[in-house]
Amino acid sequence: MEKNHRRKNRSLTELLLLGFTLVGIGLILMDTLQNLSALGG
Amino acid sequence: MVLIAAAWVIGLNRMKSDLMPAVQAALPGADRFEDLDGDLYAGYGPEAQEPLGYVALGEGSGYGGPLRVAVGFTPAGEIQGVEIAENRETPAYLERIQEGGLLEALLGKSAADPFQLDQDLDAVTSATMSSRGIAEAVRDSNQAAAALLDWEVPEPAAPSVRIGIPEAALAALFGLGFLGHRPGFKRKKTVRWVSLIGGLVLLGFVYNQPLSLAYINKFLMGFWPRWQTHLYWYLLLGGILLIFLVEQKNPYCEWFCPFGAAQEVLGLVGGARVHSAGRYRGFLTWLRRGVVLGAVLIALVYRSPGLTSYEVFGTRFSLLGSNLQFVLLALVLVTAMFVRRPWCTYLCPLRPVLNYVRTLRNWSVELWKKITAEKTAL
Repeated sequence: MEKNHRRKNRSLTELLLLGFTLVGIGLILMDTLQNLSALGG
Repeated sequence: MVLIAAAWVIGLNRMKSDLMPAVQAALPGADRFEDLDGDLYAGYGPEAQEPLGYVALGEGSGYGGPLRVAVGFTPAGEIQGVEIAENRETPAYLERIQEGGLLEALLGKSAADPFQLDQDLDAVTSATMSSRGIAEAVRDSNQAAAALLDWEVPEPAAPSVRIGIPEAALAALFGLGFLGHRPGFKRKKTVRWVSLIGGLVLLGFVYNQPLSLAYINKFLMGFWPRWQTHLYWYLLLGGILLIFLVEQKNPYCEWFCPFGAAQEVLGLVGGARVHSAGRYRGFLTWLRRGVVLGAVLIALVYRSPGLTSYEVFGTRFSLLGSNLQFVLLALVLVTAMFVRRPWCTYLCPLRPVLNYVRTLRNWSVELWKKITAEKTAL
């Protein structure tokens, strides 16, 4: 039971870290695109 | 390696800026320009025979690499207009320069003025390197104009070595790292915290000069500034690379990176722990490598080191940046309270770059061993 709970918690943390990274990279890409379009005029 | 070389060549061939719009904007009122020597133009008003003024182009070294300005003078040598004709500065810093009053402060000055920061010009706060580059470019344009128009301007000073507080702080931080890495040293933890807080305060909040992808891009593009006036750049990049190549230790990230320190301080507040991304780790490692490679390639193609330097340091330490960068910064800082150094672990471009340097180093060492072994066998 305890083991199961810990495993679930770990999976959730892993998912949150995946989400953090994907959102972060999404923001970085959008910001880069903004910079590139500003450069284009 | 092949991609980087290809992007480098493409960038070199595609970036030929049209400087004429800046030349025209630097001398309002002139509607035709005569090219006197490539860097100096005479501007004429409608149907005028005598020049209304002159526009000289000058070059300086900014944060992101070389920048050029067009300076418009009256025939008597008074500045009428200044336009940034070509630059590679990070967009947020350029905005800061344009809003910070440096260009306006140049108007009305004489070509005979010294144009030195802290002497007759003030740097824009948080954009010191860009301000220094603009002052240097204006001095250069004065020389270009004076050579042809017989104006009297101060002789270009021989570059003197600039050692200030940032350079001294950097040397002290390297020293602390050296001390902390000595085998058997007992106060490693304390010294590391002193170093982190020193980095956070000095390299972060006071001078805002942490190592960023722009430094690496600048290095790759060959935009190496004068060592006398940009000693900090050489100390930071050169010191880290040298120690990394010789000792195989990273002296920066865990010891005095200001953004790493900011995350650790927040981690202390929130009780952050090391969390692994478990089964997603491999995917995230390769994703980050892809993002960094993409960022370097775009910067090389556009010949603009700061264009894709996506770190949120500027946003953190001088409240500069786009809305998206502020959102990213908030996300990182909140996460840092619960996860140890989330930016460093999942997003920072420096770790993949250093890992790549390590791979290249190991390849070179292996190759060297092979060659020397073959020579010995012969």
